[in-house]
Amino acid sequence: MSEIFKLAGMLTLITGIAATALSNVYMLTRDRIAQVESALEAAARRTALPEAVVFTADTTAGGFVFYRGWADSSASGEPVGYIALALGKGYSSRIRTMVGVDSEMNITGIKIAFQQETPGLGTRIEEVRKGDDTPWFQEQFRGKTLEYIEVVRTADPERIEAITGATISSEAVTNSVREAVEKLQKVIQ
Amino acid sequence: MSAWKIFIRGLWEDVPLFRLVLGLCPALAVTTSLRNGLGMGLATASVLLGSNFVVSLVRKAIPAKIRIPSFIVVIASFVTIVDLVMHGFTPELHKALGIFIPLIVVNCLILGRAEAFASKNSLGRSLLDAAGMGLGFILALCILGSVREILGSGTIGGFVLTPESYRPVLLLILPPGGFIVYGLLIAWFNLLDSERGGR
Repeated sequence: MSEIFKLAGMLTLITGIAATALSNVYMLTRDRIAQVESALEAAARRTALPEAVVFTADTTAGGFVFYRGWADSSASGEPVGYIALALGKGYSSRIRTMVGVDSEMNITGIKIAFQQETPGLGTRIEEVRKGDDTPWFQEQFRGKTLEYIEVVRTADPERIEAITGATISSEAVTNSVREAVEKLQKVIQ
Repeated sequence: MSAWKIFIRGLWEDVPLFRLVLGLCPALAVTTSLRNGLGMGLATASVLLGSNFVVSLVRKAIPAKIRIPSFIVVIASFVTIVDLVMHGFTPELHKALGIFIPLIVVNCLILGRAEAFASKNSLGRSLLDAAGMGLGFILALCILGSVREILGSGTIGGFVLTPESYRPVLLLILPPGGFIVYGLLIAWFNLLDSERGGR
């Protein structure tokens, strides 16, 4: 009997020490991680809606979160555009995309915030071609209106050209972007 | 065993990936590029160093019956530390490796070294063992990552290497390619070894 207590006591001691050490490391890294995350998010918002300088978050009754983007820092007058988060089921991950639109619901830009698609195929939704600065797949959305957000298999500047070998990922992004814009449209109008 | 021998065997004789065949799952899953391989290698090696250090330090205080759960707690703690630090300081790499960072906990290389070496040897020898095995693991992952990246995407470390006309062998960065390259590398290692008049 006494051995059980000895072993249990020992394990408790070990896990206690581990927990203390971990909480200290967590405290030390917490601010840094929050900083990194918010910087990434801010950069994504800038890509999605380049004209806006300030963003205010809002949630609808249905739990749909979106941002209003304002051209001046006082956040007054009419917003220059809106941002919503699109969620799409890709081939091997839930792809999260920031979608920006202007007040006429033309897409001002999209930025994929999270994806874990197949390396070399699905991950090309974030591919930057040689000589370019921006990912070509996401660039295709810029300036498009709702009815042209659909995947085609051929090169068509009017629509969204699918990535060879990664149709599922291309469609996941495209469909989720369309749904996000539709939701925004309902909320705004 | 001399100190030098403890260190160097992790790099050749007992190189974890090709000889002990330990730590396979993360090795094959993330080595689609040199960068990912190096990142995963460094993360695993740091956990290995930390775990060998602590396990060797407390080896006399831990009752034999609960040594495995104790080792796992130590390893899991170091993995969490590495995870938090990477999230804060190398966010892109952290994103690329994703779920495979927490999974370092179940990398049998680390528990294997804790059980087979650090729990029976002095602090200095355990650290040497971790350094050798860790370096061996990093090198192996870099080789695997480089081969797969060069042939599979035509780049190395993100730099375009091959001419426009080269069509990358996509298969090599997909999971089956991991096994194929790994198998070929083991064969190559055995060949080198037999030429040296090894086993």
